[in-house]
Amino acid sequence: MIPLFRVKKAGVYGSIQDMGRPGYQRFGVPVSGAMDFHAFRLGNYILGNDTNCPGLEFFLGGIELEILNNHRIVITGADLGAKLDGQPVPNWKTFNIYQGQTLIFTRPVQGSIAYVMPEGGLLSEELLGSSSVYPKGQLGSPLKKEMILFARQEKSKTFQRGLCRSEIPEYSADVKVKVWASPHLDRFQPDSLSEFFQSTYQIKGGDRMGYLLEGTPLRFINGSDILSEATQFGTIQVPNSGQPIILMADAQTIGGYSTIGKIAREDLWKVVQLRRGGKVRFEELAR
Amino acid sequence: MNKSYEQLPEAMITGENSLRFSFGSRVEKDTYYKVRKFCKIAEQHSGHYFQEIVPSFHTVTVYFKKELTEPNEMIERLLTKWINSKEEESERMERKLRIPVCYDDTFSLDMDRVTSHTGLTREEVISLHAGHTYTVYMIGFLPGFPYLGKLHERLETPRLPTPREKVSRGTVGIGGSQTGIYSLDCPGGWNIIGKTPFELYVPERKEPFFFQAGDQLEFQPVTLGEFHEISKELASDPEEIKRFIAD
Repeated sequence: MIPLFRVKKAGVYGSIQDMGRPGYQRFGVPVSGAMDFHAFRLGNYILGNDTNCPGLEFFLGGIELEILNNHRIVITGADLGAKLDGQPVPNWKTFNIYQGQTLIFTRPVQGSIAYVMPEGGLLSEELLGSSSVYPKGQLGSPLKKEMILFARQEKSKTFQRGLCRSEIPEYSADVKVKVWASPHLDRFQPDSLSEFFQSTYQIKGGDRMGYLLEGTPLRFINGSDILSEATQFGTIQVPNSGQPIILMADAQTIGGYSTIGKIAREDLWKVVQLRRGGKVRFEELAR
Repeated sequence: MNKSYEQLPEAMITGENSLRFSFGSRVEKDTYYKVRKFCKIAEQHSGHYFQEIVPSFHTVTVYFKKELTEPNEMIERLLTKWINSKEEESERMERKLRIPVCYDDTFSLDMDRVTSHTGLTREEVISLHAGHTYTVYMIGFLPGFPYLGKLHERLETPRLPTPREKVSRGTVGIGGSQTGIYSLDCPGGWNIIGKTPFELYVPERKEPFFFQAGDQLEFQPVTLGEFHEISKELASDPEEIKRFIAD
């Protein structure tokens, strides 16, 4: 157990995450886990960690970490203008950090969510089989000022590693994603549905639970309310306002609004990385 | 005997690793029995990629650990098991739980609203609310929060015009035609009529969740003194809660 970071500024929605907490949805516990599971997985891969080693996730920047011990870390996901003692440091490539240095994230350059993970992963209590923080369910605490984050093990003596250029994801601010059809499509007016698949929606805001969209409102035949049933990460839910919401990693396990479908897993991280104002278009997968 | 084709659930692929089976469109006992039975079949026969099942009033969603490469084969496999399964399945197989609830003034903040809306006396409200077996249809909204069926019609009371910012865990309420227990502190708009000393959700407990879908529960009125006694006992040993699960 090695003290690694002292949180000097907590930034936005910072929390420790791993690959999530499946198995408890029938008890009402969301799966949680890294929002951009693609970037998260690559982080552990670059470090040579086990695939489920916990890392620090945060949105947009504004975070400031004091380094408490020499170690090796990698930053993956969004480019949030990382600087180590004032010098820019790259994403997707391990580098050494030394006691007394300060790592800050200045501003979102590309994408929205980034990961910081040390060799061996962060040390964090597992609750219900996962380190993923879900404060609403009393499962861990979000990042707070003065919190100390620990590494599980010491830095090894291996070489620095990085991801080859062709594998580095690009985070576009205008994405098109594939959608698995929902069983509620007949609750929407047919012309409203075809409008949905032809228009562009903008991200209005959001958090780990869901992203609110703004665009051509959907119209229902008889209101949005349904008998509650299972929802998941990527479900596009439409409340009576007609403006869609994309449910994210902390998605509630069941929902009472009509849904359009679920975003294909291979496209989900692209939406996750959109910031406010980002654009998304939807394409229906063959039924 | 095989069942007729009409009784097959409607199956749908809702994602790379999720299948949805639908058994009706209303909250009905018959639909509920089918949901319960299908959950058991799916748990047993979904193979080693099986991850978890989420039942609702009328659907069962089965999640798999990996992408289903042949989802239609999986659907067929589960439907075949469904067709070949035996008919009987009843409440008698479910757990019976008795939940102590204190309806004392200390907790029943909205009892006046309920009595004036329903025209019942306080005693009648308590005896109607407690004198009934409720089915846990599903758990959701919050970790460990049970969706119960069915509240006595005479007790139906509209939700508060403005929800409270914080309702404490264990609070028992009536919201429209529903009744339930808050499993965590959270904002809420239900009429508060009592409180249970039970903690429905404690992530660190051996059994983190007190309820599971299918449970049959009854509310047992207790005095304020008994409420505090049970609270104290559970505070010193949270595992003692097991005592209240009758077989």
